[in-house]
Amino acid sequence: MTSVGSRRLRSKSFERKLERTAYLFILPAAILLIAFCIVPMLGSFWVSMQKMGVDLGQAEFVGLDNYTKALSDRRFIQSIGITLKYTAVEVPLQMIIGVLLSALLAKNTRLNKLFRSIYFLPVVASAVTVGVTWQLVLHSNIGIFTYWLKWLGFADVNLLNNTSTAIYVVVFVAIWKTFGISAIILVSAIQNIPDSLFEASALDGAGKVRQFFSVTLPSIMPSFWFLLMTRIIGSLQMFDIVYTMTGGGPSRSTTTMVVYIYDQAFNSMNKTGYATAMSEFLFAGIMLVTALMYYIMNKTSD
Amino acid sequence: MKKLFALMLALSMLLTMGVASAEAEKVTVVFWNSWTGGDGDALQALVTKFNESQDEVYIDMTRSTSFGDMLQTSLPTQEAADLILLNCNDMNKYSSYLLPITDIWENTSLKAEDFSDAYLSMAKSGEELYGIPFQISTYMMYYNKDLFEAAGIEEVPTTFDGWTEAAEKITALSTEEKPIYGSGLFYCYNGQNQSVMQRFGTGYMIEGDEENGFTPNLLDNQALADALIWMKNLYDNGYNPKERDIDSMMAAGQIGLMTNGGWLKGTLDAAGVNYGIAMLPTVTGEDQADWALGDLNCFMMTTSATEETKLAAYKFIEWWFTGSGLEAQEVTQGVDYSNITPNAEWSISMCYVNAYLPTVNSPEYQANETLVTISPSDTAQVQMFTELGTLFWSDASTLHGQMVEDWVFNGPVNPTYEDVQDFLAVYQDDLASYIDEYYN
Repeated sequence: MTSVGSRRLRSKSFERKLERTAYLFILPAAILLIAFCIVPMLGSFWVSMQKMGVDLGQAEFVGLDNYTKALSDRRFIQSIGITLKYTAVEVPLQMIIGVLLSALLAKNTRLNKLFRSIYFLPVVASAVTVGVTWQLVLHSNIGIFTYWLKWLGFADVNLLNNTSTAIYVVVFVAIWKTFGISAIILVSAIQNIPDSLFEASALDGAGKVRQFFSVTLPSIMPSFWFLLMTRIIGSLQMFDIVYTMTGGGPSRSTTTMVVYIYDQAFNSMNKTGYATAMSEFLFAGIMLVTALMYYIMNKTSD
Repeated sequence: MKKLFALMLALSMLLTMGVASAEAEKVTVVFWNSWTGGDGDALQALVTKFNESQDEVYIDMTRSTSFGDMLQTSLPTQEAADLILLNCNDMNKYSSYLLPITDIWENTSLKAEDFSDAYLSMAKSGEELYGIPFQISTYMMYYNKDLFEAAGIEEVPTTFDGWTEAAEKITALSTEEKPIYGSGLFYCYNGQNQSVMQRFGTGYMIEGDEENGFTPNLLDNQALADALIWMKNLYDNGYNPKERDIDSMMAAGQIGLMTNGGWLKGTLDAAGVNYGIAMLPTVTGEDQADWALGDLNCFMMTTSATEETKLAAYKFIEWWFTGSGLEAQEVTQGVDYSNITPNAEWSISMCYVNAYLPTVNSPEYQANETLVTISPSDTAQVQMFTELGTLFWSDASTLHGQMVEDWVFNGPVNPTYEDVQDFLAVYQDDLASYIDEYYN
């Protein structure tokens, strides 16, 4: 009895030791997470309740005033609408192009490898370079793209300076810049599908199109969902290409949420707190979308 | 061979150490600004000349389009530059981080009375001086002489009606291969469009002062409505392009008339455009020198500076106004620069109006017809948004560009005064909310 009891005690102490060791292993990661994610998040929430500029010394506590102000700020509401419009156009197009291209480039032929590299090139280019280059290409007067369109008979081509077309130009450039990464992720997902599935479906008489819809698509769904989620998050946070290409214009027609937040934080006086409050709305929106996507993803995989 | 290689290596190390120690003996002053265009290259050349001209101070200059972001993020942590070039309109924004430099009069040979009092007072807060005027960027009218000649226009317009007439004639030269626009107004950039609008006599966007309260001044403002209708008609009639990048069109010889600052000169010189510079028009054409919208940029010190770097920066500022023995820069107008100060060279070559009276009174400055032509009178109205130093200045200026662009692109064709009032109502509310936010 005594020896059983002491064995149990030894086993418990061993388990505790193991537990402690496990905690020690995750401690560095936990410290980094707390220092660089949790604390700044809490800090930003505190900032969002202050009336302040970049100087913490002049901060004045205003409670939830910044939040209520944001909800009645017509420009902020307008920027939410523009962001949603951008996301609604960019994400489906990006996903469709990504899936189609990945299906075409999945085989490891020399030509496919070359095209994959070419498609990936814009991903590694800086957003500023991309923005400025496309600005010149689409310039209403000296742009090469405009010149071609005029040569084809289109008159008064002015895509970037038109309030109704500027947002779609930004969508196009954003897709051009990032579809390479979508294609690469989906190509690797397709390449991981066992050949036996394709062989079995071929024996059952499935053609290429049927195979794509019945074998390829269901098999790449985990990667597809991941990509969809990251694309939605990226679109909701759109800033760099808009900022370099249009600066939010013409007539605020491309002022996304982050462009407006940036403008308020850095171009106005004492509005860092207000800009942070608007960022919290964006954060909440992204969190909600992510949670919803996870839920749908888990539901689908079940 | 190995010995020779080792010897060469040792020698090069010794040489490097020698150079490094010589640099280390100098006091380094970190200098940030946003002069990234052709004028920035000229400024860099002058700074290099200063660095080579003496052994005490080394100016480490960084030019960046993100100058504002750099300041905002580094000032609170005392990691900003010692010396900056800052627009006086931003003095309030950074007031906690600017160093008073009133003692510059005791530590250098510079004298307060040598500076235009009107401009020097813009760099003061109370009795303390925070900046030394570096550059006054006034806007002027650029016109393409070849297009004027081709359109048979002999006189440079001095009124807005004249501008429209010239624009119509020049636009008529347009062909399918080469579109030409008589007028090149920027609708999105504040400085450019305000420099024109203020000459209609619009006054401030927000009137009043801290003591008596502020009032938005967009509605029931006949001059502002006239300016907006004039701008919109130019666009609707096809005389003005719907383009944000007017500079490149002017450089390509596709614009007849436009407004911009001195920074455009370098681009036009490089493109070989046959252009002229004149004062911007007014309604009557008689009071052109009474309007002078422009930005005053000053040398300012930040709280990131130490006493040592501050005194070293003073030496650079003193050299800027009193140094001599310069050689000609590329961006000259055929003037002999061999014996003038860096400040005079900068002002003359870049066509920037100066606030340093010995420069203004110098024969070289006075010999520059363009500079004399565009110089405003002593009583000229400098600002249009609002009085300098108001807390809502940045918001009002951002709103202004959006308002003009929105009006020109989305407003009704053939607008009336009532159309303008309907359109401006919402912007009037915006301005009222800024006043409320900052002062109530």
